[in-house]
Amino acid sequence: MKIRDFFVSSFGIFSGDGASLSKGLTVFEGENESGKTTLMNFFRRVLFPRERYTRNRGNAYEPVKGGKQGGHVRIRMESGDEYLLLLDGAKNFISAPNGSETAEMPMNFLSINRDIYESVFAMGLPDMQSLAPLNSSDVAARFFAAGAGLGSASLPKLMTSLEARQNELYRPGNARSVSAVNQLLASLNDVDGRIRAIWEQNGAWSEKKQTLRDMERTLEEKKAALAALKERLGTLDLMEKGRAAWGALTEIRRKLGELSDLHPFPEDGIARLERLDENRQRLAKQVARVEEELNARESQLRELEGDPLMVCLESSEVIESLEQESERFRSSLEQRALLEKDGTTGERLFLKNLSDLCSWWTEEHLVNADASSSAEAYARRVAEEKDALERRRSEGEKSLAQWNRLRDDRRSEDAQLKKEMGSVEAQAGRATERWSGISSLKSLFDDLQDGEAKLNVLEEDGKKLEAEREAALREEPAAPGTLVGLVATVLLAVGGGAAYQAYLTSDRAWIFGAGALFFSSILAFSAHRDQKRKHEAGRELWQARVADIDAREADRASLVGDQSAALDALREQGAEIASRIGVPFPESDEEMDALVAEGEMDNVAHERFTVLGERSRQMASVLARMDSEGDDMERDLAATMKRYDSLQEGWRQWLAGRKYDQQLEPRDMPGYIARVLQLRSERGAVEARRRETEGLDGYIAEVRGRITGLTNCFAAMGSDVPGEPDESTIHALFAALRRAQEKQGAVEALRKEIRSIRSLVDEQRAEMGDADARCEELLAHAGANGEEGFRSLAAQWNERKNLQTEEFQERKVLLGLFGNEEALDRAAGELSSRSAPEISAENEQKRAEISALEAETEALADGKSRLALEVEQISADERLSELLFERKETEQRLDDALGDWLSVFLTRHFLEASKAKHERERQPEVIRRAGLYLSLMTNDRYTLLSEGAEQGLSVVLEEKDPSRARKDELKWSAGLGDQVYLSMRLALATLWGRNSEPLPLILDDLLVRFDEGRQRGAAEAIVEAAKDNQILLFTCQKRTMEVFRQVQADRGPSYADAFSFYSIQDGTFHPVA
Amino acid sequence: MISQKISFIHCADLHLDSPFVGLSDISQPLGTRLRKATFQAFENVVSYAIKNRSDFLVISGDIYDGADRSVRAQVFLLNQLKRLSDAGIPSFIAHGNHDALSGWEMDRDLPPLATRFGPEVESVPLVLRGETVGTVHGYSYPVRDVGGNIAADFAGRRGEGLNIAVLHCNVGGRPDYENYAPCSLDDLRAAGMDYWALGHIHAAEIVHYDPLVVYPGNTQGRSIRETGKKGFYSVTITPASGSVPAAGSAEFVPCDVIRWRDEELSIEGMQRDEDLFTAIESVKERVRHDSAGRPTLLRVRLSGRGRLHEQLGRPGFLAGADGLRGTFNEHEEDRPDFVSIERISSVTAPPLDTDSLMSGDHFVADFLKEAASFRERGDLRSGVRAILEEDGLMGRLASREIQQRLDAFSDEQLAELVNRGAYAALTQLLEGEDAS
Repeated sequence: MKIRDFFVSSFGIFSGDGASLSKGLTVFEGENESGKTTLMNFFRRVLFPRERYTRNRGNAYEPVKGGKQGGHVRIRMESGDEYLLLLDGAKNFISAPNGSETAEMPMNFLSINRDIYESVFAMGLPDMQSLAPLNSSDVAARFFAAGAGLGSASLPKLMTSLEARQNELYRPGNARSVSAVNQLLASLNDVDGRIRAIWEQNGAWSEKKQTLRDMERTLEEKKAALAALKERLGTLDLMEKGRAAWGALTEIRRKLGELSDLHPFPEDGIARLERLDENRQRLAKQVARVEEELNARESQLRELEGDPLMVCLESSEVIESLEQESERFRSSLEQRALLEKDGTTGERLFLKNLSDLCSWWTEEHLVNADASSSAEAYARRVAEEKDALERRRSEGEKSLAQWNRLRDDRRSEDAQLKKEMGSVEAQAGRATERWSGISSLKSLFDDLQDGEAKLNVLEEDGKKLEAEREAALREEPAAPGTLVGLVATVLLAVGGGAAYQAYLTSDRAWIFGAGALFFSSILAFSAHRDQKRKHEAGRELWQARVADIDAREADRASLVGDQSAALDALREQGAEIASRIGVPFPESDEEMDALVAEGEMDNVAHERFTVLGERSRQMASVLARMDSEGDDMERDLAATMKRYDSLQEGWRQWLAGRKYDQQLEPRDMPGYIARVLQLRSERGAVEARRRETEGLDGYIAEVRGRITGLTNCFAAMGSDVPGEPDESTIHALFAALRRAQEKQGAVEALRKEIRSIRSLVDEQRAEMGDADARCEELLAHAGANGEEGFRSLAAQWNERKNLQTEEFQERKVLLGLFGNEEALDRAAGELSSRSAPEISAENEQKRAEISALEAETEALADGKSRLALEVEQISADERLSELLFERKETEQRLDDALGDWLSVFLTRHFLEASKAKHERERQPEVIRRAGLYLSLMTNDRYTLLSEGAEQGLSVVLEEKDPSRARKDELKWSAGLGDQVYLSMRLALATLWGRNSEPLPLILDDLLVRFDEGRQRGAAEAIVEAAKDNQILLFTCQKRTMEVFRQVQADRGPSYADAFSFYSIQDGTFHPVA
Repeated sequence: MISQKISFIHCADLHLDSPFVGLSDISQPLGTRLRKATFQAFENVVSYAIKNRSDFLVISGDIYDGADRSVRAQVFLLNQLKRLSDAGIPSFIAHGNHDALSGWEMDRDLPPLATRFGPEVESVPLVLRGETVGTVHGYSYPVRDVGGNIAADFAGRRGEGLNIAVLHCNVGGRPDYENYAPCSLDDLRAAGMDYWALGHIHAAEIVHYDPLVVYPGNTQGRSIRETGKKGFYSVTITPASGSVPAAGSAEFVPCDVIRWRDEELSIEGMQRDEDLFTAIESVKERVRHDSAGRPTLLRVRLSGRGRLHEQLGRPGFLAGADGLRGTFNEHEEDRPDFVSIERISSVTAPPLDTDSLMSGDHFVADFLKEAASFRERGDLRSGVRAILEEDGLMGRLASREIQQRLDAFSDEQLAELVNRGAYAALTQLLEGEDAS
């Protein structure tokens, strides 16, 4: 980016001045307090919008002449785009070069923040007094890390933190360190130890398991022996208990042997005999009861068949059809009564409505009236047209009245205007003539002033020329002296003497001496001639210079004459105009201004007269147009009234032709037609009711005829035929029919029941005969002659059965004791063969054996349980599983830690390798570049090296002499320090432009502490840097500017346009040629 | 000889009572669940066999994780074999490299219907419902390292009916697995078996269909390298009859209790922490949905280049009690379908154009080039050793274990470590630099 030009409209002491800048270097020279630092801050302020919420730092450079800060800078980017950066008070704007498309300037427009810019690009001497500002995090990040790729800005810090992290993770060779890896290794060893302990425990598991199995086997054997003993003891106990039951069983079996030979007896013989007797008695009772019931049913049948109501059954069809119609008949009677009542009311209402519609209308008028849609449409049209005409008439009358009022107002206004014009007319005529003269006077006055100023300039130039001539006369070159010529002559004479002596003596010394004298004589003579030639050339130049001054003086004198004549002519012309308008010719600015003010006041009256005239003409035109339009409005109103009357007449005729009332209005006609149609509908309803009443009367007479034909039924019911039968009569007849039908049903049921009872009596009599035959058969089967023999045989068989039951019970008891047939048989054998005392003795012996064996088994089971629990615990032990998990987890953490360590270790290794390579193969570029600038500044005395210190950029100087002595920052003199600091800024700014938009450098009085030699060196470096970056240099020393001019001159014509020089005086810029 | 269909279960690599790998800082309840996982997975296999009335069950090695198998694991195995035996289901067991016969065993008495193959190839008649329907051939590793081609010893052993071979081996020399009992597919086909029940490879795969050559994979994933469904094959085979060859099909049945998932998540475009939280939550819920109620251990691998890189590198941001992982796992294990994040690893990069930086002429470029040169040189393990030796650290490493562990880092892992360190250093070197 380059600043092409700038303009400060208001900033500090600057107000309304600007300058164009060179693409390379621009030097501003000005004394202290002339505004150099203000200008630098103007550029800072225009290039960087003030950040929000930041306080002003130091001097705010408020405009000395008041108002708000303002100005602009025209810039050209590397891409060729141009912009205008504007400062307007607290705000910054950016626009196209012609000032269009203005927008607020973005904070990051230059992709760099204000701090970095002020640390590197725009600074004064106090800002430059160390490398520290370059090491602020922002600047360092920009330049050392990436922008310039230095990398070492944070490298030491990074290396330190990486080393700490690496040691924290693992320190090989230091087993005592509390690094993460060592701790995890210790954890692993601990886990492994615990795993080994569990393995030892698990190893004993097999042995314990085998012991457990042996114990289980022994226990099972002992349990089996114990069970056998207990079984024998149980058998002995049972034999003692079963001895009584065994005796009873033996006795029962003896008795059963006695009853073994009996005549066969039928199964349940006694019970069967008794059941047969009981059946025969029951059947006899049933026959008697059924015959009695049969007699009662026959008597009931006869009574029902004699009832008189049964005659109704003959007219059942007629009665049932009447009952079906009874609801219709009832509703017909009710409807007939309602129709009679409604018909009377409806007819009366219809006649009243007709009379309300039109008092003189009959039903015929109603039927024949024109209620068509065309009639209704006609009425609507007439109504709408009538409304429109009425509305138009009303609006016309109203408009005309307003128009007349307005016209009266305008006439009054016109009269007022004419009156006022009369009052200013005279004053206006005078002002026109006078203002022309004052304007001419003002023009002449200005020309006269400019002429006098030019004359003064010429006079001033005359004095300068005179002074210049006097100075030139004083500088006339002096004529060369004759001393050198005399010396040459003397030398020649002495040389001649020496040559004669050489001739006489042939001595070499004389020969050489004579030669030297002749040679010296020639040299002195040449010098004398050269001195003379130079004097002549100098005198020619001096004469030309004096002649030039004389010629310029002659030109000036001629110009003064011309200018004085022109001024005299202007004065005469002015006096003439002044006398024409009757005023004295003004002698000063104040008098001229007063005259112009007086003329302007006259002009006010002239302007007023002109305005009034124009308004009067406009008013006359308005009044004429208003009169014409008023007449048109009156004509239009009369035509409307005529059309209205014609419409009314047509409407009356139409009503008369259709026999409608003449009072009807067209707007009421649609409603009237609707009422006519409604009344026609009401008349139709009245007619319909009359026809319905006649139909109902016919039907009621027919039904009543059918009812009165049923006289026999009314007789059976015990009542007379009614005069006007209704639906209740029908219901009574139908109820009598229902009762007769119910009695007929009862008769039929009784007949059926009597037939059934007769059949039942026959069946029961046959069953009684059958029972007698079966009783005889039963006695014969038992071989008995009668019932007594039969019952005796039955008693014997009963006793035998009881004994068998007792035998079964006893045997069951014994089986319950001994369990099964086999055991019972064995016990029976022993009970038969052994005595009770013998069995008791054996019982005692077995009890003692069982007690001893039980104690042994219990002890063995206890030991087995303990061992089983132990084995179970081992098999269910999850500790090994937990430890294996823990080991894997620890291994994972160890791997993670080793991974982290390796990552850090390798990173350090790469950083170290890169650093070594960097230091070995090349200095950081920014330092190399700074070294070049420093070399220019110090006349190649020092070179600059990176020191690679803890924090940021640090350099050391190395002498370029064989000693290669190094100087660190503490040993630098103030001037040397400034040279280094300036070199670094120039290098950073140059390299910045490699990757980003190059930015202008603004250097404020940076060379003030340099002696002339250092200034020259600094100028060389700055001019070199200006090849890449635009540089604005401010200085308070004319000498500094001269140094730069000298450098420019030394670099030849190609640098002629690369530099520009300005002096700043009292807030203004003056180009310095 | 019956010709009806025969169904059986083929599982392998149970690794009972083996720890999960790669976990750290896990909670007590989760640890308990994980320790039971291998047991429950095999219990699921046995329950399936009983419930579906399978004809028999085959285990193709690596029942235990090591020679030093725990008593608990052995008791558990015997109990499960007894369950099968009680249900009338025979079982055939071959041992592999992890549980070779030489290892300690508390009790070699198996339940009645269980058969263990010995250190030579054995052929055992397959008797179902009182009828011999074929032969099961098998081999158990006598020691851990079996380098010979054992499959070749199965040749010529085919008998009548169904022929099933049980072997723990590496078919085709798969590089990610130790090359025990190496053999080729042709070796297996040449043996003329109807079904090869293989073990050793932890990923389920039907290697060949005629005959069926099957790796069922392990029954429970135990590390992030063993992601996805884990289970066994339910096989149905109709034995050869006359000229009709045997025909079969194998259906994979998942039985794992806890599943491993590895999800990658790019941080590109993420501007704030909240974007990352939302993305992880979304991944987590998607995984939960995919797992259909099965508990899952999820590893989230953050990758890509983005603004959050620096944040991710801060100590305690990802791991630790208050880190991202801890936060996401809070209350998670109370759920039956928990998705526990076992690790959030980061291989992210800062939002810098490193290629452009590397092409520069400055220190950062030199540093990046140094790291890239090491990375691209290949054989990073040797490279690390060389650097350690160059710095005199190789001989000072605390123990052989440390050396072994350092040697165990793969080139890929080492490349990640180099990147991680380089990016961390770069971030500090460029502190304050505009990320763009």
